[in-house]
Amino acid sequence: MGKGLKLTAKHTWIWPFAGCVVLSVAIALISGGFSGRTIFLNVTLASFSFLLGLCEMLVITSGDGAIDLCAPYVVTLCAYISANWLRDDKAVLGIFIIIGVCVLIGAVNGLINIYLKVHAMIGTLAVGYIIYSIVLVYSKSANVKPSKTLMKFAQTNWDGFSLITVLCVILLVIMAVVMYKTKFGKRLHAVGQGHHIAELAGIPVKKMLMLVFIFSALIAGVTGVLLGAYVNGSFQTLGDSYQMPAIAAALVGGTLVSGGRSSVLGTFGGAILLTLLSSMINIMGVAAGWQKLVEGVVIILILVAADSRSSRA
Amino acid sequence: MNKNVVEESAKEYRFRLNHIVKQFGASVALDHVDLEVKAGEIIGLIGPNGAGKSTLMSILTAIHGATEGSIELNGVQYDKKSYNGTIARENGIACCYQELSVCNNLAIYENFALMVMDHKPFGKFGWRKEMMDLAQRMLDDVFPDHGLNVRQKVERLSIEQKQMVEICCAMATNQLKILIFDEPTSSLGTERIEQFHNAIERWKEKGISIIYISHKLEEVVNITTRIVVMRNAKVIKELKTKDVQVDELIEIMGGKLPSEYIEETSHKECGEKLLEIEGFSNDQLHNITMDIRRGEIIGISGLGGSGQRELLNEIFREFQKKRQGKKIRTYGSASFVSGNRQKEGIFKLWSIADNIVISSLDLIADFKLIRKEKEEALAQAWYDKLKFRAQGKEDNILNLSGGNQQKAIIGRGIASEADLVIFDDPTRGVDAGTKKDIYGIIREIAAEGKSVIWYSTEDNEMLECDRVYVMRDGTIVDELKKEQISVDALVASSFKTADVPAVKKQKGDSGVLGTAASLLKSGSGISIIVFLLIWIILSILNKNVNTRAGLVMMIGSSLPLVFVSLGQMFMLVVSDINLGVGNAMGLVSVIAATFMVQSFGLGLLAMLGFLAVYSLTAVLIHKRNMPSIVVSLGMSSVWLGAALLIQETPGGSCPEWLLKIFYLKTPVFPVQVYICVLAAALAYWLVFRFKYGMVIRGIGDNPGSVTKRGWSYFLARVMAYVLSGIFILLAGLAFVYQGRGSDATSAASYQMQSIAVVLLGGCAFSGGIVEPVGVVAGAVSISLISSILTMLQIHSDYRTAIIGIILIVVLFYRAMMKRRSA
Repeated sequence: MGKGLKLTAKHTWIWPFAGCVVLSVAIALISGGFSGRTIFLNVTLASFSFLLGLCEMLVITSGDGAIDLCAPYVVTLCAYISANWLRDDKAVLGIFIIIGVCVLIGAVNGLINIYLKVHAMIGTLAVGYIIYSIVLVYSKSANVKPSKTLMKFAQTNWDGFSLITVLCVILLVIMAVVMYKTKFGKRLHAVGQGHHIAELAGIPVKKMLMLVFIFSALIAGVTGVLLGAYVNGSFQTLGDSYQMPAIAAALVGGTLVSGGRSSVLGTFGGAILLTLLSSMINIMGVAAGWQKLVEGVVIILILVAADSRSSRA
Repeated sequence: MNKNVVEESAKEYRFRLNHIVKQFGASVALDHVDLEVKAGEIIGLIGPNGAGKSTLMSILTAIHGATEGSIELNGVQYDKKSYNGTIARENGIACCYQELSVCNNLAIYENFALMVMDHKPFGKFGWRKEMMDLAQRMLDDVFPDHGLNVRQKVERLSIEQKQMVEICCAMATNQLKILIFDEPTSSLGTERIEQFHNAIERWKEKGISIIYISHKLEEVVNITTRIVVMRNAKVIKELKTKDVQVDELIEIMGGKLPSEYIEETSHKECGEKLLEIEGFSNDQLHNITMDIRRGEIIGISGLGGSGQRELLNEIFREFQKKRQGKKIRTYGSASFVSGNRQKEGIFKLWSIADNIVISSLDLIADFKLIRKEKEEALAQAWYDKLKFRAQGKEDNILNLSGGNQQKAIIGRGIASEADLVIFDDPTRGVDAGTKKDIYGIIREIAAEGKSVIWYSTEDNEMLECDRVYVMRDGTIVDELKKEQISVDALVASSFKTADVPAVKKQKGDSGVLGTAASLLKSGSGISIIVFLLIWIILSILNKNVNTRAGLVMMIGSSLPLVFVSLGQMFMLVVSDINLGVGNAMGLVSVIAATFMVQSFGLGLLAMLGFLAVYSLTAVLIHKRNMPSIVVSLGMSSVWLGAALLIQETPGGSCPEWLLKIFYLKTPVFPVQVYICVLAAALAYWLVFRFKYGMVIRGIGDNPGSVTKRGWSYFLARVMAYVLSGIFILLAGLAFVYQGRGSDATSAASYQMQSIAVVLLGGCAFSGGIVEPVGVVAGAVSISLISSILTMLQIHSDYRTAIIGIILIVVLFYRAMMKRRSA
């Protein structure tokens, strides 16, 4: 018992994955049969909240109550850009444009937070508002549908197991190494426990924060490209519905709201868990209201459970 | 007869702690401790860190319950179960804590009010005046010529002044009988310490018992009548003060005198320069000239708050920038060791090992990757070297005592192989044994050819240094060399007057310009100015704006945002954020447009139900100690779900009575304007005039200290949520009126807008800082932007971008103002 508790306290990601197993079984029972395809489909659907969840995880881990509220707008913007530029002979230029736009957005977020001393939550919200206006204007003259190659790429799957999932797993491994094996990761977790403390420990806090915002925007950009292609075309509020699931995935996965502790694997589990949950409610065929209500209650319950285990540890 | 009674009571024990045992888990913090205190005694309670002094006091103040034992107070016996904080307070026990517990966002007098007022929600008419008088009286009495204005906010005070306020607050307690001071003089200058000791003496004459906990043994010997020495959870010795000297006390506690080391230290040859400063000045420092060579221990001394910390921080920054300027030249690298462990030292989530290696990552990493075995080896080496008292290097840092935490921070500073280690009062609140270790470490660093800058609030520690710079008012007033250094010399130098450039006096604000300037500086000012600007632009663009119909439209359409933002504001006041206010407002509007139209009673019931659930989230957040962002995120979904269940598609209608209210014929301005002004006035009253509003603000700033004064954090938080919920109800009603019906999903956009508005209005995330008027002005401004765009014939696509830009500009401006005033 004691050993088990210690294990789960150290590896917080176990909890969301355990939840995933329970929900998979429940879905199998309701739909009257287990199907790998259903699971894979859900994992693919979860990719987008996972990827955005990584953005939130990065930013939240940097501490000071930071949350990246502009990530969903970056998703939409990049989905439009990819639909217009990632085609034919313009593709290489398109990739550079997307990277450039994301770095710019991240840098602006960073500058506003660090040098204008505006709280990250409100700074990113303001930048998000600006991006949203850009999306509204840009979308009027822009292509909606991505190139066929891109769509084919994003929708490739082998009996449900998709290329996007493979990409997610690769990114997961990279992120895990960055967060837990590198100087950057260690310093980021230090920064999250207190900017001033980290500064006095000789950590270049401003540079760290800058990098965090840029990485976050880059991941959001990738998400936008994939999401736009996956759903056959962009629309003005494409990213909006992922805002809350992304934050929830990061938190359910074991990221500490106040910063300084993160879990890459947990975020993945959290994203899948939330996707399975809404699938399950969908299969049950209840009213949309119930769906939202149950989702909300379950998120709270999971976090209550998560909280009690971490405080016991 | 009368005299007899006085003598009788003087002999009585004020309190008696009998065989107190306190266990935290497996560890015993107090092991059968007895302590008796008579009226009019000053007891010095001393002992190494972790001896159990503070725990013993927390039993007496009932912050912790005893595991075993009983307490006798003013002749009444309480067992461990019947004793609680209320009894302690009613018996006149007050404590002045080491960590300052004043609320920064409140005025000085309000801090007194939190201390002495009863805990009912409403105060008597005129209580503010009464409290101001009390605060003035106390400060005048204890610290003559303190120069403080009791209406001043505490955040504007220096740390010394804050400690003065803290002390006076404790001394002002009603029916004071027993007064506990825990390291009261750590930030006070010599002169203030003297005034303080005189006051204690007078309080003693009044028959008040005083318990004085301090590591400054000279003070203890000077002012106490009896000394109780604790060690390892037990009282090991009690003695009369007049029979004892500091050296003996140190011996009893098991320490060694620092003076013994002086002889051990040999003169050494000093090497090349590490730092040169010539005539450097900034806001807080004036004309600093100093240098440091390899192998030197440089002391920084002087009266508390003379710019020593600023100097240390400046030096550290310059080293990080590797400055090679005209006035400052650095050679090599520096690390920083702060004695303010909680705020500047430890990484709380981490083990000892992680805390040590974090500044040395370059040493243990190849390229970017950290090598595990090198990391382990480095941590283990320092863990062994610094002789931690812990289970192992993987122990969480919070499991350690203050002294051992300090060792980890010192280990971090040295492990990085920095050429210069900057110590900022490293022995603050550290026991004698660890102090000894720290002195040893510092000498070792210097012996290795590195250098040390060492700021200490204890003059005798400066005897360890090769040279000491004495500071006053941000300048270096004296430099003492090895042989010249003595406590007497330091004190003498500390009082040398500094040659400080005259501070530019602020011109008195006058006339219209002055008013405008002060408006710009106040928290809500910018938001009001933004509002006025927008209104002027609107008036220029369209003459109809200032007609009755114009006002009805303009102000009316902003009412939902006004109320929902005020709802958000009451979250911010207890430093919570609600990511669900938009959907909550949506739910209320759905209730109003459906149930309330059917029957007023049914609707009201449903709304009260909503209010109850909304307030209950405070219980969940508080009792489970969960972040409000997370809970409100879940609740946001719940609100939306509930609203969709009641009404799946947009529809419903506005209740008749609500329409009637909005159609009321009011003089001069339409009713919408009055509602807006009333909302601001109500919120203002609740936050700044209502007694419980003061408590909520205090709790938002410093929950720990307000609860120690007997107020309930839980109740205050629930109260804030109830108030927030009420404003959300009003928002929902305004929303129904505006849409003449409801749509569950359309309220979501108010979510983020409400957060934008409260910040625009001048509130802060950190809690306790709110500006109701600014919030209302901000909400109206943001709503009006779309009207401006329509009139300018700019497409509404640009609306959000303009809100974003306004937000950034305003918050940037505010940050600049804050920096300038700091």
